[in-house]
Amino acid sequence: MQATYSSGDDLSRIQRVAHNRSGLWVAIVITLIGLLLFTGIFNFFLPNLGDELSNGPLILLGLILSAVPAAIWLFFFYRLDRLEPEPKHMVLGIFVLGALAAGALHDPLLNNVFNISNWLYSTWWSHLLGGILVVGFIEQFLIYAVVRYSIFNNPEFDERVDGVIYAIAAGLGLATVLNFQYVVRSNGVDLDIGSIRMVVNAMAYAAFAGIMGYFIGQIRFEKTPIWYMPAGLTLAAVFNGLFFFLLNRTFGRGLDYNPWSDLIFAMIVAAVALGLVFWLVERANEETLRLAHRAVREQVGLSPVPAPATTTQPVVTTTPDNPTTAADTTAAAGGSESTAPDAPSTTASEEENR
Amino acid sequence: MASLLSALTKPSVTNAPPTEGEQTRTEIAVIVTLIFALFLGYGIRNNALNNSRTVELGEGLPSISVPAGWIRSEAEGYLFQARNPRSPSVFDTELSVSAQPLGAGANIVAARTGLGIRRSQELLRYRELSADAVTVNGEEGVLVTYAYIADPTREQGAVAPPVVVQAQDLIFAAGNRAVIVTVAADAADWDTEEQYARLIYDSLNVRENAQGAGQGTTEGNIGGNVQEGDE
Repeated sequence: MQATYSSGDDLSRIQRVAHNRSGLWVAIVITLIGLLLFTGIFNFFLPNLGDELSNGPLILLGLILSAVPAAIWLFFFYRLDRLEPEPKHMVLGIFVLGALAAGALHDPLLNNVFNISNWLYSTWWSHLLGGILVVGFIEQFLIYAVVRYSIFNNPEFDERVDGVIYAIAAGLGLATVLNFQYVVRSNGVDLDIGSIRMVVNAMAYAAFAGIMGYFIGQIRFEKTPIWYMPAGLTLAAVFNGLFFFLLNRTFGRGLDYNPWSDLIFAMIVAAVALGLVFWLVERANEETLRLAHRAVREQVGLSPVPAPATTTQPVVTTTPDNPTTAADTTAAAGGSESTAPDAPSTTASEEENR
Repeated sequence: MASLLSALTKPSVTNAPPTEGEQTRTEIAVIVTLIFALFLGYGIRNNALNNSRTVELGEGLPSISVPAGWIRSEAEGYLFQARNPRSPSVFDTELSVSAQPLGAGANIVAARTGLGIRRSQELLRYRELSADAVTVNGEEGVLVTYAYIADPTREQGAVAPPVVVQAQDLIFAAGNRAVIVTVAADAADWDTEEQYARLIYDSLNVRENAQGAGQGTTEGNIGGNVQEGDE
């Protein structure tokens, strides 16, 4: 990997982008345990809670419960991400935006335009392919669109892992709306099985949104090939479709139906998917820092500079916030044509001068 | 594997952020991918909706196509019976095929009249809406549309309001028998469930019979199900 140089980016910006947030790992584990406790309460301690309730209170309780998994996720993510937590109102705003987008577009697109109830479950191949190409793509694009057209260019989106955090918030908004719709359509739900289903939804959408978020984080801070983000969308859609296909087809329905197997499956998928996402984020961060430090070393003369200088004239780099000279940017790293949205510079001419 | 991982974690050889132009290019690529996926999905949808299996009704009788996802059920007096388990209503859209002998000198009109009387006695609030002269595999037939009230949840002990059902009887002769193909669905969902009736009728080459028009009791074409005749 050959690095080229400019002074458009400084090391501190790159270190911020590549900041690892180990607290998030703990947050994921504790959140999964919290979700298990949530289902445990309704299945072991309050199994008959819904039996005494009439339709109205049952629906109301179902609606409250449908938001609880998302609340648990967001609470632990926020509490344990103390080093540099995202602003509460931003995360909550993305969650609400995800819910609004899902409420406005999810059902109309899937049921009115594609009429999925009429064909999706008719054969195994329509279930699998339709689940990926129609349901998966629409749901994951909603998550992508919510993050891309709201927080993406905001200065608060300053770390690679922020893509994952905000996408998960959007995914949980989507899951909450689907849970709401499930409760309302069923005219209230059996609280024990219902609580499992709500947790399964929340875990699944958080996991697939995490995958989307990784790619969103990458396209925010990296020059990516044209196939990169479409590949991310496709990957998340495939996982989305495959998960619900396996959930419906593998674990038995009717009299054999066991909701606990759904929960265990969702938990494994969420743990593996999010574990993989954060491992990838850490690797990407390591790569970014390695490249930055190598560039710094080369610029201070510890090793040969690969691009020979053609002029010795001082180069002036200007940014709107912090005008600097080349001498000030000896710590600069990476970027042959740095025109960062948040730190534009005159590096194209600078390259020529060099 | 290593190169894939490398491309996944560090797609760029620099640490430079993308330019606005590059972000726009990514944007377009994502939207094109979405449109392409939905286009393929629409094809899958159409394939699944038209996916059917062929059912042989018996010797001397035509075969019909039935939507693949429908569940066959056994019932006395019927050559074939199936229902759509994914109907949006508590009344599952259903197809039933029966045959009755045509007596000496009897024709389709007589069979249709007898069937109408029987339906009015068996079905609650039976009301004939229209009837059309059609051809079935080139032979004369009648398509009768009617409505009645059904109470599908009562047998199961559940409490739900009765359902207004819209149904069509397609009556045609096959040898010395009159075949009756009945498609019934919740009237509120008829527009969406109509596609299944069309699939079944298409397999029988049902066409509007221009020459026989006016033989029916009431209006002309029914529900847009019957295609224009070739002749």
